[in-house]
Amino acid sequence: MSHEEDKLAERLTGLRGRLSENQRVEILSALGLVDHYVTIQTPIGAATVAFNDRGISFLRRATSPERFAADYARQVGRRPLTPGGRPPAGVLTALRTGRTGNIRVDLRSLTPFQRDVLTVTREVPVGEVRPYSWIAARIGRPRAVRAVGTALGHNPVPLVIPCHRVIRSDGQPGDYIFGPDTKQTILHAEGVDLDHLAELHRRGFSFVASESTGVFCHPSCHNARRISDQHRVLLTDAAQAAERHFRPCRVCRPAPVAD
Amino acid sequence: MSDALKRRLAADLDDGFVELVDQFGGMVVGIARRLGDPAAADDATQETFLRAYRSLQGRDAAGLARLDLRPWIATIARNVVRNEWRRRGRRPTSELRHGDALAGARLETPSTEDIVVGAAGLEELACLLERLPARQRDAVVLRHVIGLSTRETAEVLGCPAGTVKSDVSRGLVAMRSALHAAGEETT
Repeated sequence: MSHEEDKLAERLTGLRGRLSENQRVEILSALGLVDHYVTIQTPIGAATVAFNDRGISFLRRATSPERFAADYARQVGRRPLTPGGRPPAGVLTALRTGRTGNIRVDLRSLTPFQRDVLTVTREVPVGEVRPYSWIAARIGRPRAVRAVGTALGHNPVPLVIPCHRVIRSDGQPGDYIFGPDTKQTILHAEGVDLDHLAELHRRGFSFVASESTGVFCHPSCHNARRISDQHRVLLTDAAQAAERHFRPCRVCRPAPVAD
Repeated sequence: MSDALKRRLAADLDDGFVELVDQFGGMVVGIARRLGDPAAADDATQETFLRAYRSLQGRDAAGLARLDLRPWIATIARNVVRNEWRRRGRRPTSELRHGDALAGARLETPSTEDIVVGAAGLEELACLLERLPARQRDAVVLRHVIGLSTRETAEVLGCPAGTVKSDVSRGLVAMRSALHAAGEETT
């Protein structure tokens, strides 16, 4: 190419295009790749929640839009965030009652391990708790108890996925994204008696059984709490339960294996 | 860099696609405006990414690994634009011959919104590009406006690299001489 054609070629780069922010959002919107966000009331106060057509993708205490966007980008990634829209149906009620098991969530930003941990965590009903070791056993990684704790700490949608219902084996609440005090407050509001659980642990007991049904449970299982005093038996571990011919509760699955 | 993007696409298509749009958005807009009707560039851009997304949905990791993303997306964009011209009926062109003057016989003016304000001469360049014969225009746009390599340009146009080089050369020569004929400096 001659010198003049070189110069011309250089000038042509001035015609290079650029995607405007509006266009970018429009394209990604058409593909359902933009999250919307609104601020809502929850049992712990105002929270900002992001969502798309897969479900709820992020939830944090309401601070500022900038702070929310920064936290979102760090946890979830580069999808554009735009205010407005309506969160999935039933979210407000579910958060109020704690029955969030059916709310759709978007966990695509997580690793498979984190997804497994959080999916199993959704099985814990309101008013009940499970130890970290239970989660680990349920996902087929019984020794990964610490990793479970870390994964719960990365829950992008606390309250919706009830990581607050996972506590330490000794009955102490353990860590929480919104702080251990808040964890205790929510559990108390949900009707969990943490002191009682701690006391059972101190006395060496992990499970509660019924002599009338022959079933043993986690102490916080709603079935366990219905056992009348005359039929209640306290058990130290699953081995003892088996020895005495108790079978595990099908709801709280006190001695779980992976699916 | 493209490998990192492909890994993200393989891990989660939606997550990776947001980044893909960021990386190739400018390229697609450029192709839509310079090879297509600038007034329809937004639609063509959107259509290109929709097609790319659907195509990626149907691919497994092996199919994804085989892709050279840049020329692949450029090809989709070019096809979208060509389909649009075909749909509208043949596009009127007044082909630029060596020595043609710039002024007069200007059939389509690019929308001024897409030319950066203050960049003198770009509107004229855009106009000249439009008047090049299709093969030369495609080659010049892909090679020098978009900045694809000769190899990538050849892949998009489906012709040998040698053809690309001669089409680019002829296109630039035609543009240069038209600018001279209009009394403009090319430097």
